[in-house]
This record gives sequence, structure tokens and C-alpha cells, in this order.
Amino acid sequence: MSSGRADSYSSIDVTGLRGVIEDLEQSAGLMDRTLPGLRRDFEFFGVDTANLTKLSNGYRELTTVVEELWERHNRAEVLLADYEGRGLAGADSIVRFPGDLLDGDHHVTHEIHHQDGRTPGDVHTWWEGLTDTERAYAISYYPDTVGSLNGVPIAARDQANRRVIMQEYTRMSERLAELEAGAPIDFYPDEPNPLPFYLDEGEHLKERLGGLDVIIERLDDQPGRPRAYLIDISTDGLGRAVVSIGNPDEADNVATYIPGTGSRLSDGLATDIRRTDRMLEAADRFAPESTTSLIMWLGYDAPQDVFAEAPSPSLADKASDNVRNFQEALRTTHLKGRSHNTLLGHSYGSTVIGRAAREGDIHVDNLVFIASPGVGVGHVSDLGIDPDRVFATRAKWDLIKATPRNILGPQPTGGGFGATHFRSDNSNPLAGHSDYWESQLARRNLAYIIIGWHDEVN
Amino acid sequence: MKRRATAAILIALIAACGGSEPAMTEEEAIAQVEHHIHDAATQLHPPPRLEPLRPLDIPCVDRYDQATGQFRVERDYWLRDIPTEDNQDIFNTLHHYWTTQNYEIKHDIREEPNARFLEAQHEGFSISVQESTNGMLRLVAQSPCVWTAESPDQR
Repeated sequence: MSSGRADSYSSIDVTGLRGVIEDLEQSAGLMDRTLPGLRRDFEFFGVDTANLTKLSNGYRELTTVVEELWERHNRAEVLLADYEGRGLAGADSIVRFPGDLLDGDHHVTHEIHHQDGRTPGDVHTWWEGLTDTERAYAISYYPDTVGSLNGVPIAARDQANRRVIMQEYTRMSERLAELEAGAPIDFYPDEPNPLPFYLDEGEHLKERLGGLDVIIERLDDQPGRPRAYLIDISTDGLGRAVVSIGNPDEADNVATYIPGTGSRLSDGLATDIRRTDRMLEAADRFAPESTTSLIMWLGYDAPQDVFAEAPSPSLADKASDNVRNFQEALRTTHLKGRSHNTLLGHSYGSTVIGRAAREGDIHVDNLVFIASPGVGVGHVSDLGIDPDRVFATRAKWDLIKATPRNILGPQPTGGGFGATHFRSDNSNPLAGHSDYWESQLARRNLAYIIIGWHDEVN
Repeated sequence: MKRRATAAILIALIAACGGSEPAMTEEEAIAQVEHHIHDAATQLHPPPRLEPLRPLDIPCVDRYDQATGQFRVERDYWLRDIPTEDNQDIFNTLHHYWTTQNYEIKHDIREEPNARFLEAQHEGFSISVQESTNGMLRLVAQSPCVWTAESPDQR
């Protein structure tokens, strides 16, 4: 490796540098393991520890150097990938660049890898301590990490996730094209694939791409349409997608809608995003003098089969921490005082929010259970919020009412539960489980809960 | 498995007994929706100025929450140039008009100031007058499920 002034060229052999750093890390690891024992022995036998202190200082110096070298390596790797993408790379792993690879932002790389698992408050404090240049660097080089960190402001997450979704779209489209180019002739092109989607890579890619298409379309700014923000996105497994209409960091009212059974990253998300849009629209029209933001939160693996998976609370329990963490993050990054926050769950989504509220602080003012099969508690007082701010509805024709109480707990529309009931529509026997957004009355009631006009909920 | 089969039979029976909604094009649905709104507005004195809001149709789903590809066409208008003191009279006028026109009154919440809501239904269409928290009024009409330009190609 050689480095030079800003007006000269330097070069790094990426593979060679990685080998050197790994050797240095091994040495640092050895010192880390042996130094505490040596110090204990020196002190026990009364040996002067001055040299040992020098060695400890050397260890600290070495770890700092290793961190800086990793930073150089990572940046060189990004450059190398860029060269390869543009057909500029040679046969070796050497990159040439002007000036010095490190321009003062290198500590960001080190820090960003330590944010995972920290509280939204700690993440936010770290983010607020960065300069604008450092934030731009983090978003450019680590968009997937910044985009998924609860505690980073929504506008920054959106910026990062817009990069991630386009990268994912390109990657998956290319892979699908590769598969289709090498696929055997399909003699029955009109017949559905007999394999479950998760067993067939091509079907999996098509389905995820369908979901990405829906989100990309909604992210596109159009006149007269509220701006959408991409708060989280992943194509792993069933996929993850959190899309906000309006910026929750700036809104007076913030509502999060969690869909239920069958939800995954597919073109079916179009219905959930449209519902989110419609709820926002209703809130804006009923309360023109306040601002509202509505979030569609698919940040969990929803059950895919109403008979095989939905009767179990295990997927809801797995989602609990994510739900609470996300709601805490909304509180943390909000800019204008305290917003009025609501969490709505439809079907199994209501089970998710009920069980999350049961286990810890849910950080919202209202909970709304829509067509719930059961929420894991028997009474509103077990949900950790003001019992008067727990609402429930179920349409007359909704078969969900047939769910036995011993599966997911009593339904919140039951008499002894203590939730405030509100009316939805009772007219469509063919859409009973999903009639809550078609109904004008149900949308009015949801809007009144979201804007905080609780007494007018009917 | 037995439960799944029972559910399938139940749905088939409901579908068979429920009848089918009238076949209607998107253009016909929009025309009807607009007709309901303008017809209601002409009953009011002084006549309001109708200001259209961004239309956004509603996806229709089956009872397992899967999109059918059809949409309910919905149109929404602010009623401008009317004093808010007249709101109660407007609700009463429309209730009277829709009743005499043989509309079915579905929801009647006329007694909550700044939160009034009245919805009527007629031949599969629904029409409502809704009051915002600041006293402004809207007329909203909605069609049954129809195929629209937003529907997927495999209708």
C-alpha cells in the first residue's frame, strides 16, 4: 500500500491489505488474551509493571491502526466494485485513486457497525452527533444499515432505503433474467407452478419484485399526492416493508397499521398501501387543521396460512420487540413535541400489537383492534395504556368471530374485554373480514381515533 | 383439512345465494357517483360550490382479504360557500330528501356537532354527507365493485 498527498495518485492491493490486517488482528487478539494474565502475575510477584503498561498502550495503538486499516480496505473495496461495474478493473485487486482514501469520516464506519441492538435513543444521539458530511457518507456506503436503524430520522432512512430498494430491484431482476435464460422450456405456461413459492427461486424472485414494483410506484412523487417515505425494506424470506405516507417525524398525529395473515412482500401490498393512503386521507379531511402521517408496517413474518400458522401466537411473539422498538423510535425522532400516536392491527396484526403491548411499553396513545382473533390478554387493563384508549371493531359477517378463545385469547370485541367498540359496515357478506376500509363509517371512526377526537367515535 | 373443506363449501353457498352485482363499466360507475353527489347538492339552499378532492378508488377484496382486482369508485367533494351554522339544516334536508327518494339510511349521526355523519344507500351505491372537526362539509359517493383502469389485465 502507498498513500500520497491530495494531488498525487496512490494505490492499494485490496486482497494483500486484507491479509495484512487479518495478521495484525491475530496479534492484537493474542495480546488481548494474554495481557490480563500477565498483569495478574506481575502484580502477584511484585514485578515492575512499567513495561507491561507500555505493552498495553501498544495494544491500544494496534487496535486503532487495525480499525483505520479496515476502513481503508472497505473504501478500496467499494472503489474496486465501482471499477468492476464500469469495466475499469484489471485482473488484479489493485485500485488507484487520487489523494488519501481517508477524508475524516472513517470513524463512521466503525461506529455504524456498533449501532445494531442499541436503543432508538442511543442511535439517535449518535446520529445527531454526526456532521452532515458524515451522515451523507453513512447513507452512501451503508444504506442498508442506516435504513434499518430505529432512531435514525425518517427522512434519512428514506434516503438510504431508496438506494437499497433500487439495488435490490436490479439484483433480483438480473438474477431472474439469468434463471429464465437457462430455464427449460415450459410446456404448460398457463398452468400455475406446482411448487410452493419458497421452493422455487424464480417464483420467489417474481413475487418479491412484484412487491418492490408496488412500493417503487408509491415512492414516485406525483402532484397532489402526499409524499411517501420508505422506512424499512428487505427481500429476505417473506420480505419486510415499512412505508409511511407523510413524514411521521413532523406530523401532529402518527398512526401505524399492521396487516395480518397472508401479508408478505408481494403485489398484494398494493391493497395495504392503498388502505394506508385512504386512512391518511380521511384523517386529513376530518381534521384539516392538523397534520397526520400513516405508516404501513410489515416489519414481521406474518402467518401465510389461515389454518396452519395463524392459530399460533408464536409469530406475533417474535414480532413484539420490533413493534415496541419501532414505536419507541417514532417517539425518539419526532421533531415537534409529542405526537398523538396510534397503533392499528388488522386480523393477526391485532394479535401482534396486543401481545407486544402486554410485554412492555408500547409507546402509543391508542390501540385499535380490527377484526381481531384475540390479542393475548383478557382485559384492556393488561395492555399498559389508558383503557379508554383501546378500541375494537368487527363486522357482522366476519368469520373471524368463530375463532375459539383458547387459541389466541378472548376477542377484544367481547363484552368482558372492556374496549371501546366502534361501528364498521355490516352490509357485505362476501368481504366480511376486510370491510373496514370500504366502509365510509369505519374510515370516519378510524380517522377520529387517529386525530384524537375519541368522544366522537361511534 | 376438514375445516378448510367446510369453509370452502360455506363460501360457495354464500356466493351462490348472494347473487351477482350488476355488470357496470368504470365510466358508468363514475357517472352514477357524480350524479348522486350533484343531485344531493342541488337540494341545498343556498347552493354550495363543489370542490373536488383527489379521487382514490378502493380495492375490493374477498373474505380472505385477497384483492379481487376490482375497485369501488369513490368521489369526494368539499361543499364551499355555505355557512357552518346551516350544517344541521343541511343534514336534515338531505335526510329528508334521501328518505323520500327511497334511499336506505345506513348510518345517521346528525346529533354530534362538528362530527355529524349521514350515509344512505341506493342500488348498490352509497352516498354520505360528512362534517369535519372545523365544520366543513363533504359529499362522498361510492360505487359497487367494478373493473377499472387500475385493475390487473387478467380480469
